[in-house]
Amino acid sequence: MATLLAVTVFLPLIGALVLVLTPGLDKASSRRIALGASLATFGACLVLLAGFEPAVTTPQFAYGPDAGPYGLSWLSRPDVRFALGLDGLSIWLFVLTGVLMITAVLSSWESISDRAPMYYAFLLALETGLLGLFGALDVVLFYIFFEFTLIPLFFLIGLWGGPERQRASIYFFLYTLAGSLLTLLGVIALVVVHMQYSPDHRLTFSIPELTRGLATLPWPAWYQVDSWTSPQVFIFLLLLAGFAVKVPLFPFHTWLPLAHVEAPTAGSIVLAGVLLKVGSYGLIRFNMAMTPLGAAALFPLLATMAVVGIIYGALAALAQTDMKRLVAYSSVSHMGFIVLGMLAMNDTGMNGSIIQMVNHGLTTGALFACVGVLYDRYHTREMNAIGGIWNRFPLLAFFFVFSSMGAAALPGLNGFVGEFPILVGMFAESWVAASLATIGMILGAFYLLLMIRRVVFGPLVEPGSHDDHEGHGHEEPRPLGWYEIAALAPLAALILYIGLFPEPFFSRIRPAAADIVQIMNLERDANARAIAAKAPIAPEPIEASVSMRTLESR
Amino acid sequence: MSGFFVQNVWLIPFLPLLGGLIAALAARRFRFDAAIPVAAGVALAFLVSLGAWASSGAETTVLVSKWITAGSLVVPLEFRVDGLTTLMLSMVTFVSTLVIVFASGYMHGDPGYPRFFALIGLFVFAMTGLVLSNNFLLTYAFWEGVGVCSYLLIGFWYTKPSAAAAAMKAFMINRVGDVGFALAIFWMWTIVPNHDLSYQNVLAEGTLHNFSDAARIGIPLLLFWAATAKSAQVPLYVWLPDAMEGPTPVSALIHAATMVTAGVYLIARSTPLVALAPEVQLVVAITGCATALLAALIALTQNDLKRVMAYSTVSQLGYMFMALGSGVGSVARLAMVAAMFHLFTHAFFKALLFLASGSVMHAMGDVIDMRRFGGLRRRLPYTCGTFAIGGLALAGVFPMAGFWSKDEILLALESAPHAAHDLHLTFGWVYQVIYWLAILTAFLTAFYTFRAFFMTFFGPEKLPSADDPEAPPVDDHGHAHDSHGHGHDDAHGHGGHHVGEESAPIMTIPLMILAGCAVLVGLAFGPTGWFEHHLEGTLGFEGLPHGEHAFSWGTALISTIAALAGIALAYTMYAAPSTVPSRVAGSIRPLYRASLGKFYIDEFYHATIMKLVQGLAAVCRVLDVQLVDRLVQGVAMVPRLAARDVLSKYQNGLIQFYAAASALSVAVLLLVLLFS
Repeated sequence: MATLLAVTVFLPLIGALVLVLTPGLDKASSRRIALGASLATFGACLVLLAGFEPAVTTPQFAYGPDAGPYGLSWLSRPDVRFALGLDGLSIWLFVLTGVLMITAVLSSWESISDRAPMYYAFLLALETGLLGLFGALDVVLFYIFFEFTLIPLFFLIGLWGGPERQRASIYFFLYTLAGSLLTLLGVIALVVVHMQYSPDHRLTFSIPELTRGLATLPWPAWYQVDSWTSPQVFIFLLLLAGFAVKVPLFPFHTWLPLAHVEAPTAGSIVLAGVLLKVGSYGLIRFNMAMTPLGAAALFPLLATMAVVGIIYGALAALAQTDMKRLVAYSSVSHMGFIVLGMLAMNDTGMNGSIIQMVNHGLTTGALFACVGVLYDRYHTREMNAIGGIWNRFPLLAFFFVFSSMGAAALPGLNGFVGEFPILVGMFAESWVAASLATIGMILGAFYLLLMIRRVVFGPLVEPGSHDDHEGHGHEEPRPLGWYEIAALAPLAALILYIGLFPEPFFSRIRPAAADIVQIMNLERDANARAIAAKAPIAPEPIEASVSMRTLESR
Repeated sequence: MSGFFVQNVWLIPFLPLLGGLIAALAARRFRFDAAIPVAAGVALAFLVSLGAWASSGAETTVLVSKWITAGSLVVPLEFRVDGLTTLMLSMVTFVSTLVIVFASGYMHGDPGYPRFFALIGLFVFAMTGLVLSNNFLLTYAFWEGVGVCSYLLIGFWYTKPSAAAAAMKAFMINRVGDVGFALAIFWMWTIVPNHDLSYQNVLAEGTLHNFSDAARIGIPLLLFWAATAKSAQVPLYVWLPDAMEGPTPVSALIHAATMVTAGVYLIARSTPLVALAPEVQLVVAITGCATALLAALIALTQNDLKRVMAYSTVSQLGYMFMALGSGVGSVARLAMVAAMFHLFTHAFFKALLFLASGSVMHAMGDVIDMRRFGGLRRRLPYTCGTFAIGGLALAGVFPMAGFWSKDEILLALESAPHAAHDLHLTFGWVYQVIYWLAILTAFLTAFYTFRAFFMTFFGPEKLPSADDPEAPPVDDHGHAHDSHGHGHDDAHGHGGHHVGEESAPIMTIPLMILAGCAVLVGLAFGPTGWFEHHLEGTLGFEGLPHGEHAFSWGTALISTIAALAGIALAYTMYAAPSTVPSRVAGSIRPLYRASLGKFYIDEFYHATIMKLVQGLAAVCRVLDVQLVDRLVQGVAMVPRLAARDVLSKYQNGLIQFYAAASALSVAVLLLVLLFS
């Protein structure tokens, strides 16, 4: 299975190479290759999912013994390893990437004719970057994949985007790069601190080892523990820089609407569906699990950013007339919920946060795909120019309403099973933040329904139906193609399935979430004791068997 | 056998859902009547409900499956079968069955026919799930579920802009209420033992007595906030009158008999919780009273028959909340029974009145403005007769259903001041005021109901024509083609049906059955004590304090006089054409206009809250581009500016300058080293 994981990660890249290296590929054959590659990757994802043991918290499908070191030695000194593996936090994001990439390929089916082989090659290369990033067990490998994802997306936006594509792609690239360089510093700081202060002074880049090792360091012994001068705060902020831009957290979100509006539909689907999750995934993986004291100390700031993002993003979405811009701002709002869930630092909020990443990927992906279908036909995304499409495209209207309801967190659809635990968890931690966030629930329904009312309901309005100049009369827009239905139907099915039967998802997420929450609580308890004793004391050493339920010990 | 029904109570929501799914997926392809699977599913659900009715107890719960297990938030799909549940289930499925039968005639020929019945099936699923669920969060889930069905059914004729707007308004206002419900759940979850949100845990005596004072008052207040939206109370009632944009059977089922009573159900279900907070009960009573009176005043002057009924529903829901709010101290039990009894009887006679209005509308070819027709009693004899029975029941005339339930509410209100006095509460006199306002509302109710009745069925016969001054301007614009056939209520194919004819038996038979219920259910359940006896098998009911409250002849007499006076006044003013109404209206012009304009509450909300939100949204939109993005770009400019304006000057290529700079730097370094 370990080999299969590596193959899965690089399968799309192989497809991309085939697309680039085969001379004279036309649109039809290149899109077929892309679809084949993404379907094969998804199939491999499903095999991995089937082999995933829900109750195990150590990384699965990794080379090497259960307790590490994982993977193959890559650089021997320092010991950077090519280590891949999946746990409850990453497995669903891994599969989500596989799902959304199929949607991305299918929604480009007719709309991309220009340099099609290159386009699909970039899309597939992006998939490899994302799969590798979620699978990476080594910080260097993680960072390489993390930065690698920028390149294909930069070209996707810059070459196949809208009129302002160049500005958008450069803006997006530089903004995220600037942030992620600081994150790199933070990661290095973690590695160095771990080497310096761990009992055996081991230099390791392994994420599981770092997580466990850092949790046992005597953090409260070093500084005044309840203040912002804790070293964890500093490292937390460094790590946050890159991830906050990626998420994006208010006020680091301004690249998002621009990038979305300019990106081709597939770019938007992957960007909102998966790339933003890279930020929240990193926040949980690094910030929450490795520097929880920083998170606790910065809680007022972070919760404010999340809550302001929720309300502000929703209000900004409300004022938009461009559908893509609206969905982009809605992402700012919804990602605020995800960050809020992890900030609750209890298992309920963490579970909600993790599943909500998947949920948001599905609903936003579906919404962008719906907008893309309209854009392909009308070449506009202005809500004032399009109306009453229900009679024209009944099936699209269904998908549109359905995914909006999912995004508005309607019970029975997927958004609810994430948003509610997030808010419940947050309420237990800070009832003020949770209560303010509920305003986002109201506004969230407001902008989505407003879009539905303008675009789906009402009498039919189509651009160009009034100015039939040049004699060639009123042309009927083509009905939905099979590829568009195939792009949307699986997403709708998943939106419903997660809403009704979230247990298969939660059962895999719960152990991972519990593990992270346990580490956070250990450090916070030690910290609290240090504060109570008015003197810094070292944390009690954690027993390896508590945080690590291995395959054997099951 | 009876245990079978309780154990398989999941069939009650499932069968209508199945019917709805069949209607949605197969009806068009296999060319059968989409109403049949839904009607069958709901009718079977009714039978199961009756079976469960016979055998339920206070502590019967049925675990169906897991749903959400997110960390410590555990929500199983678990149903509770007790007195309150089976009562609601039987009522909901019974009325639904009749409405579906009626609608199969009413909606005949509509292009969205299968969609309509699929949504009705989905609605019955959500509604029965709502009353069955044994967990606050599960109730919340179905609570939003019925809301979305309501949204889709109000917007059923989606090409009509007014319907789209009304649907959205309903959803949004209900969302505002849902937030209150959600906050109540968050709060409960944080403080109840084991984070267990099931009713038997939250409403257990041990749990409730550990609540802090803030939670004891805050949680029921938040629940009531949720109820004001769903059950259309002040200040969140404004969506319900607009909801009449939906097809009339929807108005009858969802916006009169079932969904809008969910708020009453929720508060009744939480009685053990609410009973501990007399302050909240007072708020509930005052809100209910204000709503009842306000809506009755608006209903006096409306010309749209369906809107009269809509405001009447709002008003009657207010009545139910008045009852719930009067349950201080020893009245708690009586109050809960009275509210639920009124909910029960109201479902029958209000569904009847709405369907009868629909029948009028059907016969009048989509016209619902009462000024455009009149004297229909000979043309529509069945509709007229059943409407009259429904009207008498609504007015509360002996021995109709409404009389018994309204009387119990008044009795509860009458007893409340004494109970409040016993508890040393200072606000007992408020209930006295509410009691008299309730009597006034009863008078107004009788008046507006029979105003509508006499305007529609009495006087000289008149059918709508295009020349009526009230007729909407003829729309000869291009949209007419698009919206033809489904743009207007009842503008669907009539299949040889002509304007001014009585509706087909498939529509009049449900009317007659409902009329029979409107006559009988009060008499059968009220004075016999059957209703109260059945509710005894409800969670937490045993623990409710109750005193002796005898049937009060005085109250019965006063309310009957009020009702008869209202009917008599309506008769003198509207039974024959006269100038009295217009003269009365002229003499109190400002009041009349305010009532006709619905006291401008909608306009007020629009000018304040909506404008505020839109303004904030516009500000955020501008702010995002002009401030936040500018800031980012400003930060991005720093390296460039620093390089160009500051640092580049020093890279001037002059060897002398570099040498001087080096020497100077070394000197400074030395100085620092020497003196430190």
